[in-house]
Amino acid sequence: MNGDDLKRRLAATSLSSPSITLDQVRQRATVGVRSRRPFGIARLAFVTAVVWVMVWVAQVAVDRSMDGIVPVSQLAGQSTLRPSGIAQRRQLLQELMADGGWSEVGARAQQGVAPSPPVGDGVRQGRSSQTRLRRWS
Amino acid sequence: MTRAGETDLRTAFRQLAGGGVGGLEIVWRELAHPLHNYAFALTRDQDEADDILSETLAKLPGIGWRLRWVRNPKAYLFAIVRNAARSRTRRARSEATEDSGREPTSPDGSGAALIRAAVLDLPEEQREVVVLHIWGGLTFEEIGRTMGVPTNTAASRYRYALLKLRPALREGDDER
Repeated sequence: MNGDDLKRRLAATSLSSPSITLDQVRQRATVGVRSRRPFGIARLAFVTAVVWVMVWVAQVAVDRSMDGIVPVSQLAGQSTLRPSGIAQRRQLLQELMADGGWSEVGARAQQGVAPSPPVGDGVRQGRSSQTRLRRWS
Repeated sequence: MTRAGETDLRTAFRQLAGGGVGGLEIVWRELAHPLHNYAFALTRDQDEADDILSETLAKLPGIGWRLRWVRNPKAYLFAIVRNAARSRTRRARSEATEDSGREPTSPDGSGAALIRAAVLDLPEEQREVVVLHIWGGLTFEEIGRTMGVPTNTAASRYRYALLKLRPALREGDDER
C-alpha cells in the first residue's frame, strides 16, 4: 500500500460528523451579533469620554503649574540678581572702604610696596614673610 | 476543496464582513465536516467538537470588517478551531486536578473504527497534521502556518504518522 492509497483510505473514513445543525449555528450567531453591537458602541463612547477627561485634566494641571512664572521673553536685559542682593553687596563694599584697609592697599600698590603679609596660611606652609615681600616688590 | 469552493468561501467572508449571517451557509457546506473532524481530533470528544464548531462559525459575523482582509479563509477557520480547542484543553487541565488524561480509544472492531482509533491514538502533533492534510485539504505550507512550524516539519510529521497508521489500515482492509 503506497502513500496515495493510504491517503485515499484515510479520506474515505469519516473521523466524526457534527451533531449540530446549521440553524442552531445561525441562531447562535444572530444572538452573538445582537448582543455585541450595542456593547461595541457603548464601549467606544466610554473610551472616548475617558480619553477626553484625561486630556482635560492634563491641560488644567499644566496651566496651574505655569502660575507665577514670568516668561523668558520678559526677562531680556534684566539682571539675574535681585535688588536686595545688589544693595547688600554695595553696603559691604562701602564698609570695607570706610575702615581704611582697602585704601591702604591701593596706596601701597601705587608706590610699589607690598601690602602687609597675610598671617596664617603663609606661615603654616613654611614660607617666610620676607620671601613673600621680595616677590611683591 | 475545489477552487470554486475557495471562491465561495471568499464570497461568504465578504458577506459575513458586512455583519450578516448570510455567508454561514456556504461555510457550513464547504467546511463543517473538516472543521468538526479537526476539532474532534484535537479534543477526542464529540460534544466538545460540536461546541467548538458552533462557536467558531457563530463568531464570524461578530468579527466584522476584518474578515475582508483574510487571505486564506480556510486556514483562518482551522486556526480558530485550533485556538478554541487549545483554550478548552488548558481550561480542562487546570480544572481537573487528578485527571490522568483521556481514556485510550477502544475500537468496536470494524475497519473504519480501527482506522479512527489509530488516528486518535497518534501523538497530538502528528494527528493534527494528518487531519489537516487529509480531511482539511490544507497544504503543508498552510499547515505549517496554522501550527506555527516550518513546512518541512509539518511534512515529516505527516510521514511519521503514515508509518504508524499503515498497520491499522492493513488490519482495516482485512476486516472488510
